[in-house]
Amino acid sequence: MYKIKVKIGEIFAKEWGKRLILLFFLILMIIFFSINADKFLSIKNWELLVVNLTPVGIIAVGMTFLLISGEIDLSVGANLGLSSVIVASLYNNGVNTWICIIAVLIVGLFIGIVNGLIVVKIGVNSFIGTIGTMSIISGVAYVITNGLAIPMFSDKIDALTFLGLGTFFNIKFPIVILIIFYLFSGIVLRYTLFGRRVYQTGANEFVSRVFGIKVKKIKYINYMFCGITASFSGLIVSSLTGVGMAQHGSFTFMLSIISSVLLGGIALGGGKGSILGTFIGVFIVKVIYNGMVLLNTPYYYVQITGGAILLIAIMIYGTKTGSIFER
Amino acid sequence: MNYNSNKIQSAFTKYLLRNNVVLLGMLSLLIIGLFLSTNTFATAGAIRTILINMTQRGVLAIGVSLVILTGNIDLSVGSIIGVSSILSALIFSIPFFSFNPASTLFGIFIVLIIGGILGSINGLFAVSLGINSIIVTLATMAIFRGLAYTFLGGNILYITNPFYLKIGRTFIGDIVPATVLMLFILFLLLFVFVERTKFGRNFKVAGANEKVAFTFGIKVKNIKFIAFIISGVLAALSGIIMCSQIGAGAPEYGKEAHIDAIIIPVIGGFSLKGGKGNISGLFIALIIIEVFTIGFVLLGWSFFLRQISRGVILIMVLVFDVIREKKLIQVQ
Repeated sequence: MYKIKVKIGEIFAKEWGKRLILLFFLILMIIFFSINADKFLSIKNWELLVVNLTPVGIIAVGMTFLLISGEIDLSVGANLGLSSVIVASLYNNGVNTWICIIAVLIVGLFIGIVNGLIVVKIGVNSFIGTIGTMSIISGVAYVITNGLAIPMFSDKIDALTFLGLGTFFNIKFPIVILIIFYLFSGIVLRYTLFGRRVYQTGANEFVSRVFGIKVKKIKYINYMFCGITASFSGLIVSSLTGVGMAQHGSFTFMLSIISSVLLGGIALGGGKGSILGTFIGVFIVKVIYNGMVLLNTPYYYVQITGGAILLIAIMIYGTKTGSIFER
Repeated sequence: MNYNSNKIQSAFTKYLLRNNVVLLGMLSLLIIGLFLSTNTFATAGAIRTILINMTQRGVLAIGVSLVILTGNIDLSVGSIIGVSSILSALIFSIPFFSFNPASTLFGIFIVLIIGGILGSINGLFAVSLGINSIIVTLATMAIFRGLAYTFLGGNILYITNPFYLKIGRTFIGDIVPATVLMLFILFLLLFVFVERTKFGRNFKVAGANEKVAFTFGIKVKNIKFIAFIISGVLAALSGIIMCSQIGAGAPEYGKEAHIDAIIIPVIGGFSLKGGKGNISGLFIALIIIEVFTIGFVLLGWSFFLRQISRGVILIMVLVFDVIREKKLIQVQ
């Protein structure tokens, strides 16, 4: 008897044990909502859920890399908003689709570089620094649109429309992108040298630097990656909704990304976590949001839940004191 | 240190000048620059606007600066303003609270207490549970904002209580709002508390070095918790002043307040690490931000451009804070 009890307790301490609990919780949520909300289990709803999950999921990957290395980027929402605005304005002016896409990705890269400069190079606290860039970027997006939405008019199927609305062997294209992206990033994070460096940077920055790991370069790369994922998600969102507006990148949206990543077991402060955990975390948050929408809960309860999920996620996993909180 | 009453005034001005040369210089530059570039700056209307906005922002800044002094941050103050504004609108729509000044005061008191409760929620997670205050207040910012919307949906509620409205709208000599007096008194109280009382001085020590403060017998956790409560109460007060001036309460108020909440203390000499800062700097920083704000309005910048400029100021202020910290370390 004694041996069995100890073993059960040990499961919760191990990494995969925590992920098992997460998976269990996800299944619990799914059961809960399928009982309480009709149409929750329908294929249509799930297709919609996963398609809507894609922007959050892609940015969550970028955020995972960044968080594991010990920094955070709160400007991703504003980044997405600005990207959708830029792609909509360029597209409406008749610019070639591929140039639109590349221009937006460059903007995302640029934002990542700016964030990297402020946080990594100068040394500002990553939370507040990216809050600052968030307000600048969203301000720029609002200045361009003056608060209005920019609808994208197109009557042909090109790269941009295919991004959000196309199908690949009967599966919606965003879902395909999501799966491929997660597989790719999971492999990079776990099986490449770069991935290992990311973990090491987050686990102990000082020792990593002593060992010759270029901590600043890794964080820079992660910021640029995060920026690109944010603007790429902006492309997907614009394609899905057909409009480009600054409101796409709302505060709640950014909060849901952070909650998903934190729920997935990426400890704030770095060094721990995995792509699989993020995947489950993203699903949990999206299932909860989707379920609440299907239950017709008013928007403000969804907002409160978003904040509560963030708090609960931190309480479960704790935070590791690291470079993210210094300065 | 004995000050007799004759010397207090000159000692105070010397203190003000000595500690804040840079800030006063910045302020003078700003004022001169604006004076030269617009013809609407030196008018009574501009000064009046500055004074009106100053009270609400100043009260907020005092609360947050206490939290920053103890080494934490409170990003949820904007949402507490939203809650307190819609709450006060609701409370004062009940006739019981509009009878006479006493019942109005009672209603205000209730709102302040709720602000304190919200602040203590922050304290609970950030101090008692030990979770980092940035992420806690980020989460509570969303939670409280959602809470503000639960009362009436997104609607605005007008306030008709005459005593309440008088708070924000009485003026002395048509320029200076009565609330400026209240702000001065609050600043004075804060000054006396943080600089001259035994308990108040512990705030700085607790923020500067937790462990050493603890070994000195200072109850660090209590102090940090109290700072959060004060921040909540003062944020609620700021919301009350705002509603009184506008005449209505809405859950959207204070949407960008957390940016001001960081900018003003950091310019005023408070370090985000905690343990540093003085009240006179806070006051001058408040005036600087007010002058900035009205300056952009007078220069004709659009609403969104002004938002961008505040973000830029925030980044510059943060960079400045980092440089200041690094320089001090090198000096030592």
